[in-house]
Amino acid sequence: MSKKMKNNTPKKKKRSTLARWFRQTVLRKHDIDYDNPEVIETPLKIVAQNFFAKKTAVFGVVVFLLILLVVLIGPYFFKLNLGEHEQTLIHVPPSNNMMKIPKEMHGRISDIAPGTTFGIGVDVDGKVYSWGHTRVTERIDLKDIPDEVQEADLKMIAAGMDHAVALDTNGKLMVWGNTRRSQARFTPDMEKAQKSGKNWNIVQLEAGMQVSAALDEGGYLYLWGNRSNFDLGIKREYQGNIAKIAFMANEYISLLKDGNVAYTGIKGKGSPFSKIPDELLQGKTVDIAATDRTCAGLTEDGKVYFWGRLEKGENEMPEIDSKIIKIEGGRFHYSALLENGNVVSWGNNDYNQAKAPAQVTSGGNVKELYVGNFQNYAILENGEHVTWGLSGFPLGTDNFGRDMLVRIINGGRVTMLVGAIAVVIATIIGVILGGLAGYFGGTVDIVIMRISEVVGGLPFIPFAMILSAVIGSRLDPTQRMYLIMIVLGILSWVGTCRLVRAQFFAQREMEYVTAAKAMGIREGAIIFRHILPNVFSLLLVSMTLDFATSMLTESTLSYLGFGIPLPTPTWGNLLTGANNSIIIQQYWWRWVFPAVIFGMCTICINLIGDGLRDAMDPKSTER
Amino acid sequence: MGKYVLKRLVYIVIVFFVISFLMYALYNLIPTDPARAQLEPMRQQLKPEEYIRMYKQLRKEMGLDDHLVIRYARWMGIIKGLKGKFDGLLQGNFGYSQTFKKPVVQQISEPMKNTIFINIFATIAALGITLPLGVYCAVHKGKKFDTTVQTMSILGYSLPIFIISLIFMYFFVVRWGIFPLMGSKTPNATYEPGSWEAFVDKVYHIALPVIVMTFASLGGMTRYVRSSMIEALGTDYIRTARAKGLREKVVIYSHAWRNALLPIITSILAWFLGIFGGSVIIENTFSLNGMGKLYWTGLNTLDFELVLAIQMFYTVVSLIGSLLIDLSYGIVDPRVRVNK
Amino acid sequence: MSLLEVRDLNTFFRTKHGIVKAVNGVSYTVEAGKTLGIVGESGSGKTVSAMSILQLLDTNGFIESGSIKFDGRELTTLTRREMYEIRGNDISVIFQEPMTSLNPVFTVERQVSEPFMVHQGLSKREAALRVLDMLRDVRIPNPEVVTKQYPHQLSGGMRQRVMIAMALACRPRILIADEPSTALDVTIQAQILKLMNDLQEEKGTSIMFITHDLGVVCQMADDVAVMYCGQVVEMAPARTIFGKPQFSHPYTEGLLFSIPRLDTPSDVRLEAIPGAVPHPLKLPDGCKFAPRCKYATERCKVEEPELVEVQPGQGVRCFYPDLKERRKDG
Ligand SMILES: Nc1ncnc2c1ncn2[C@@H]1O[C@H](COP(=O)(O)OP(=O)(O)O)[C@@H](O)[C@H]1O
Ligand code: SF4
Ligand SMILES: [Mg+2]
Repeated sequence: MSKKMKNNTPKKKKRSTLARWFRQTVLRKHDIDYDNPEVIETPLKIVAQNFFAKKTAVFGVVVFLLILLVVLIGPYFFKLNLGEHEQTLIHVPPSNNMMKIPKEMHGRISDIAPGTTFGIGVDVDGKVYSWGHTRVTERIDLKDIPDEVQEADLKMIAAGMDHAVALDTNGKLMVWGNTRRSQARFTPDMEKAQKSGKNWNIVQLEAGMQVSAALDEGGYLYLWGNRSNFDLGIKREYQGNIAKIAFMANEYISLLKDGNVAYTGIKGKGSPFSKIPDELLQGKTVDIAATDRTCAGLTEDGKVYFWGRLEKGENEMPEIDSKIIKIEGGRFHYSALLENGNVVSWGNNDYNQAKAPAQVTSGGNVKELYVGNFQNYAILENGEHVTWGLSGFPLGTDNFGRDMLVRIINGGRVTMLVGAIAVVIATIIGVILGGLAGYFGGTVDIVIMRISEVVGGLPFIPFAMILSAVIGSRLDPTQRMYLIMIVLGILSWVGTCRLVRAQFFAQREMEYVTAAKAMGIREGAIIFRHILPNVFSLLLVSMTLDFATSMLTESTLSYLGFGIPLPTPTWGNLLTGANNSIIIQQYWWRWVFPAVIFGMCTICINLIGDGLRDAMDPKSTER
Repeated sequence: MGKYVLKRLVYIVIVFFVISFLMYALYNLIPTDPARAQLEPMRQQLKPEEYIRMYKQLRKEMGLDDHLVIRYARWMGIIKGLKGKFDGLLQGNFGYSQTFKKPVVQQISEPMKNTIFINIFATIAALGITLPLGVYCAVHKGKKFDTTVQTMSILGYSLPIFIISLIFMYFFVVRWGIFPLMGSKTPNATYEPGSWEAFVDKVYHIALPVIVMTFASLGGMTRYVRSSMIEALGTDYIRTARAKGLREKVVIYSHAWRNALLPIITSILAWFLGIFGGSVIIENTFSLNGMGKLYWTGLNTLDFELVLAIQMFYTVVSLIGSLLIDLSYGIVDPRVRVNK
Repeated sequence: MSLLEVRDLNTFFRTKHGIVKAVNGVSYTVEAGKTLGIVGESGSGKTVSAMSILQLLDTNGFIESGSIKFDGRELTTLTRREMYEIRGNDISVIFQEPMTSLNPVFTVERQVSEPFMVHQGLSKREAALRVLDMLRDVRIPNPEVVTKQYPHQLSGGMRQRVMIAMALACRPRILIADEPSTALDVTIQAQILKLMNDLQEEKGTSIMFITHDLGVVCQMADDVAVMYCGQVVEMAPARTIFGKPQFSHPYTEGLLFSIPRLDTPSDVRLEAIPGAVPHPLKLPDGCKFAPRCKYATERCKVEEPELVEVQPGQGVRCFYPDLKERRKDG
């Protein structure tokens, strides 16, 4: 660099004063250098050389930049939804196998029941398979399929939230999984029908939240399970007339044999689901489907009508160029099979469940479609299958069913932002006060040093907690974030102040200051000119290290509940409440991942700071 | 030396009053009205004008309309209280805890013992490890052992203490079952308070927190001791000592060590305060009955007399800490102790 | 036989950027009761060569080869334990910076009594008495007061006197004085130099006097070794150098040209020779002085001169040692 400049002597004169100032202060290059016959490397260059010669420092830089990149860009891809709360996805461990149908089943699928985080399937030989996150509680795992089910020749299958139902070719109904909430307690008329075989030619099997249903070809509906949160009744007049049913979260609707839709449960009055669109009461309905809070009915002419609590875009059906022949509902989305062999999906797309891949939206060869919860399975003419929807959470979910990956990425952004701004605030205060103390000396210096002693002597965490509690109680979350930045800044300027002040005093002793003073130049002006370059490099080190400290403090405050409040994630409050043995052991992903990435981040910053300090230390250059 | 001590004492007393006043003022930012709270139940029975009269009367009695400085002085016990007696902080009246429905002094005594106990324990343990380790690394600078310790110590001071706690909890509690997860004593234990069993049980419960606190402070402290020692070993007077024919041991442990101690002592204060701050986190993570936990509870329930008292405790601890540091600095450094 | 004989000494340092050859084949001798002055610019290897004698090098330094004979005893092969016996007892040192060379946390008494206690096995009380004697010897007023004081309470000159007292405590045979007066005011400097001269007369100690100031050497030394880039470029009796020499090294010539007198401030450095000392890792081939030498020829740039005896007692490391001839040619 210096060589080049030397050769361009004429150009040099044109450089603006600002550029010269920058060169002199920031790059620490004085114009005198070029008279020197020796090639003199700029100190900054030496510092950089020393710095990059150190493996740990380079490692720190690389990893930190990677983390920074993820945290800065990540939030655009992994959008944060503060209101997110999904009961069925709580504490799902890291996984990506929720739609991974076992090899043995490939091309031989005869039925699939998509559960919340798992799937159960039957192959053409009637053999049962399970995949995904099947663990329901500590003891119960849907993967532990009872022998009688495994040995049976299965015809049909259904998966609820924590149980599964299977029907074999002999009409035998079997339940496994969680059976403590009456999931396996069949009603007396079911038992009778099963035994006699009368009215027991089951054509549809459904399972929901601890409840199940089986529908006989003759229109008889059997419902059983946990009554406390589901309408398990059937109005008398409909029994024997039912052609198909669909489960919402706590209710169900039926398609009657006469082509009308009816609310056949007994809690119907006042329920939004009982307000069935007139079009579906014309005897022309051919299919029904339901999500958690909405229902959909398909008429002969291929039109779909929605009703219920349409809050998640369940009725935002796209334009379709073909006729719908079958419609299926997940928890918040619908998928439909078209006459031309294509599929469309719409509704809530939090887990990509409403985004069917091109292969099925335009391939025209879909034979069968299985939809449930957040998953879709399409079986093609050639026996292959295509899946879309929730395949898993790479870092698991938390106690609200929120994706840890999303929260870690967004939390990192908050933590880094708060840390960075706090450091900037602290540095500004420190430089100003340190400069004042060093420039004026005397009383000003004494006063500032006393203040800094008091501030530096305050127990940091308790003091920050109290400021946050007293002032923060009246603020909204965003203001509170600013408050934390300011509190951290106000409490951590002391080091910078002392550093700047010490530089002033050190420079004051220098000969050139004395000399310049003798020439009548104001001491302050000289010192400022010469101090800036020195301080700049030192500030760089102290800011890097302070950044790590600020992040640590922010996360500590948030961890204690006095920093950034939930649900806004930070690397600190992600770990709030992790200090119990269940989380530590069973839900390890809730603390291990935030801890690892945060730990890496602060370690890297400290490695960088250390490397910088070493690189700038003239003593270490000799070695 | 006498003059020096006196100066520091006066300074510390002033700082105490300044901080306590600031804290008191800070609390007064909180909009509360004890007079209204006290009258509220009777409000229905009273006529509006009567209510207002009583309200004003009560405010006067409680001294709520007085100037902030006066209220502060009363609270501190510098001027006579409302009952005509000196009854403030200085007289040992720390106020009344709304959360626990008893005087703060009673509520605070046990946690204070616990907190001081674990902090001093952790400090001693950490010093006991870091001082020899740092000196050893400095003397064997650049050797394999030293570089290993340097790399490891970055871990120690980079990780926040609650993450270290979780890791230690995972291994020591969940995995190996050596220590209890939480609490200050075994629930429903049937030993006499103050007995040997009680003591053992207490130590059993605070062992893990103390280990974590010690571990967390190892990294930074070892590095600091090491660099101070390296700095001292590189000075001219160490070369003088060697040139005199002194044995290397004498050079290191007498000449260099005494000088390395100066910066170390200064940093011990910051570090001790850090430990006290850290104990807020530790006590909450491990559910220990200490000041930090109480402080947390007080802040969450807006029990401000309690919080104010604890805040004063922290302030006093830090001031005493800084006084002790100043004194020991004076003892070690003749340049401070002996005037020219 | 000389009291101290350094022969072909090579002292190197391992650094990140390579091996620094700080002392490169240096030989000199110190005669009993005499003073050897070593001069040279800063960085020429004076301190390193002296510290090699006592093996007080920084940890990255080592004696590559050479021999150092003290009173007929080879020092380079001594064990650490044997070396302890020599330091401060037979050979002692005074350093340049009196401000930093005394330990700030110990009293004068403690520091000066240490040599007595380690080398002569005296008790604390006996040593304390001897300390008072020593302080008196170095002309410190009020030794009873000073002995209880800490370094920060003393002025620079007083501290240097304490250093001298400490160095002379065990009546060493050789005193290495590494720029003992450089950091002092001119008047104090003169006092210290006088003190050293007086003490040498009283005690018969040999002195190795290191300085970058030829004027001081002129005042102190019997023999002079001029060093440049880790080599002795000229070795001669002081009389010869400061007289009207027939032979001389161009470097010595340059130094003499810029000789400051006692009344010029000590911070006026030897600037008469243009250019700067080369970087120790980028030493020139051929004569090390060639880049700055006004008599340099093509030969000087490729071939390195040896130290040759031009007349008895005088050695010069130059192809053109004869002053008159040289001046004529140049
Ligand atoms: N510890 C060290 N590591 C590397 N180089 C050193 C070390 N000590 C001295 N040197 C080098 O040795 C050379 C001679 O130094 P020194 O003997 O101190 O010079 P002076 O003549 O000023 O006393 C210098 O160029 C210096 O760079
Ligand atoms: S050898 Fe040549 S370059 Fe070296 S000193 Fe003599 S004349 Fe100068
Ligand atoms: Mg030197």
